[in-house]
Amino acid sequence: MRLMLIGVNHRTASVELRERWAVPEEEWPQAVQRVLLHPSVEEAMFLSTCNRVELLLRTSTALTDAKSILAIACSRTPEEFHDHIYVLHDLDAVRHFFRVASSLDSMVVGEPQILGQVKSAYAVARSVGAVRAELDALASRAFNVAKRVRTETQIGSSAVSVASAAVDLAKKIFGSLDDRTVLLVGAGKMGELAARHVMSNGASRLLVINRTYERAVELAEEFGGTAMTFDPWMEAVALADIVITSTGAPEPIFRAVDGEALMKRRKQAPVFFIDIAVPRNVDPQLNKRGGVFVYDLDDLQQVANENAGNRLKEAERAEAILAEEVQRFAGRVATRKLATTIVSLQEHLENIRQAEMDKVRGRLGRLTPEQESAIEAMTRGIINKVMHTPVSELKSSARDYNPETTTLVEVLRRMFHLPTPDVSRVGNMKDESVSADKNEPAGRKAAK
Amino acid sequence: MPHLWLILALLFYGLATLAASATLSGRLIAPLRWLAPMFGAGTFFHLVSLVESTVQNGKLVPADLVQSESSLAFLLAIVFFSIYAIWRTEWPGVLVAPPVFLLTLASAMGAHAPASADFSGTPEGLIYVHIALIFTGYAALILSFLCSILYLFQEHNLKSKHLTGFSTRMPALATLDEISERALQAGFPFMTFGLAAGVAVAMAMHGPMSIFEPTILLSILLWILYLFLLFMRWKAGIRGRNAALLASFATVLAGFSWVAHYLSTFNPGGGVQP
Repeated sequence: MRLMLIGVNHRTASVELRERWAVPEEEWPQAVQRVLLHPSVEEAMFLSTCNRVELLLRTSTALTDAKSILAIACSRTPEEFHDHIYVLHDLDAVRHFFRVASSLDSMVVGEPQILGQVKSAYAVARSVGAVRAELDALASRAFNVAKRVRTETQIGSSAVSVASAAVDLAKKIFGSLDDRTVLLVGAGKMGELAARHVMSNGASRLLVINRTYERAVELAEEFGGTAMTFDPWMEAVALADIVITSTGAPEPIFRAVDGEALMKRRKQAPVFFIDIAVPRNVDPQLNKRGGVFVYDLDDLQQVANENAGNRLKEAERAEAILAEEVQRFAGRVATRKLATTIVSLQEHLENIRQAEMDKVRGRLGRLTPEQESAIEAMTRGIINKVMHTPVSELKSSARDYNPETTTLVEVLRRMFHLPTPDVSRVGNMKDESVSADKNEPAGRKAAK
Repeated sequence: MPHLWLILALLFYGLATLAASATLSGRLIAPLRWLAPMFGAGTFFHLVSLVESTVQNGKLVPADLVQSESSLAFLLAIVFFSIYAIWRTEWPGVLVAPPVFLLTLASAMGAHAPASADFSGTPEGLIYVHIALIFTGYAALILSFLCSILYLFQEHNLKSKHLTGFSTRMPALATLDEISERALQAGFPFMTFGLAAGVAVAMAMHGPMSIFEPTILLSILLWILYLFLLFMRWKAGIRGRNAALLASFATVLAGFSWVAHYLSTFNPGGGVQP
């Protein structure tokens, strides 16, 4: 299998460059079809997101014009991007593809969208017939690897932006945000954005308090909410579960001394203050009162940073999983090649045996059935004994996913002038990956 | 045979406890997924053990402390599964698994001793109803207490603004609070009718009796505390630290009451040395 991955991403090219090469999803089929016109390209998958444009290929021969093929897919000239394009081969391509699908190569490591985008790329390529046995197997494996990374690590479990961190925290307090009431104090741009984010995550009702009542009414109407006056504020807070504050008040509006009265009024129901104002609108001491949770901008940033740090730690664990999966994949490819090579070798030796048998028959004349049978048994026995050790060694090497297997198979093939393995003869790798999960790859079965 | 089934149940409860410990260590999350199946297998074998034991002894309910430990562990597991079925969260099991394991272990270690309690002279069936109801009430109370502990822990994490390890995967405070409250609400009728059945049994055996008899006094105190806990949740909305404190007090009182019943000669089947 000759695999190749050609692409540009957020590490190799600026957004100005990437946006020039980006291809909208509805044009992916044409992009893949343009690539398939190349005589050496047998299978292809094309992916274009805001952070990457990549082409995964299986080719019949080594390509010298790989970068041009990406340009063809994007309907651009290769010169525009030449220095920013990376080209990866075989196992490096497999590793990169697994990393992309598992969101380890994303700008925000662990973000969940990329897997959906890779699945879309696969679906598009499949719909135009650009994906067959090899890439099909590789894509299936990549989806499994991505799932494994998600399940066995916490790479995508926490929010890494301030707004998402606030929503995550709210969910940790209230569970679902459905039927929750949000009070926005100060209808500035920042507050409005924060409120919009919380409301888009399921909160059902928005109350708005603003110095200018008209602005409060305007914003409340946009969300189907209610504008309120600040005085008395406790009444408004008693109605809300999440309070977003972003006024320009120089002193805290919500003071610790009011905490007891507030919580009594709320019958101790928890309240979450998201204080994005500078100077702060909520006295941090209020956080000490049971049921009151106060997060200011720095706290939210710290949570987001900690989450990002945790993701990086998890990414290290994910890389270990990936290394294991790449080796396993390499082992599977080697096993399949091994199976076809052994079959070819058996056929080759059988042909030699038959030819020699014919010569012997010519020299000795007509043989009795007993003599014929004895010579058959003897020649078969010689072949089996000669083949036994190398085949056992190769099987053992493949069983251990030893990367050396590919080299050994290649050597064997050259020594006996065997034809290039046609892996399709032993079934496609999708079946193999299924049986491999039961520790028994189909290719390996064939090798037996 | 019942002992063999109990050992099997113990084995699975032990595995569930290991999964709980691995989860609490904060390094691994995957074991949490094993908790419910392990608990389920343990509960199944526990049920088989209890049924066989009942058939063999001809008695439906725990006849001594050893058997009562086993029954309480089983009821705790059942209450956990009720919670799991409604809220789809294994987290209460993280704290329920160890006591269930320990109660079953204590029961398995003492199971070779013959049941020594004598219920003769008690109204037919009523003693069984009394113990079954009271134990179900205890199990609900313990579950409520354990959920309050989880609530306190998660509230502390949220207030300290430091959510790491397994706390990032814990259920929301609102969910823990709801489980804790519902468990209390569900357990109260069992506790009330269990107490009433207990009084009926005692009156049938001893005639009119003093409210100051220690086991009766403890039971009534526990019931009043339980009622107070429910009332405070309903009226003042107490949760978090205060709810956990009250629930822990009630749980300790329940423990005393339970042991007192098995030590008291006043109680049918009592006077048994644990």
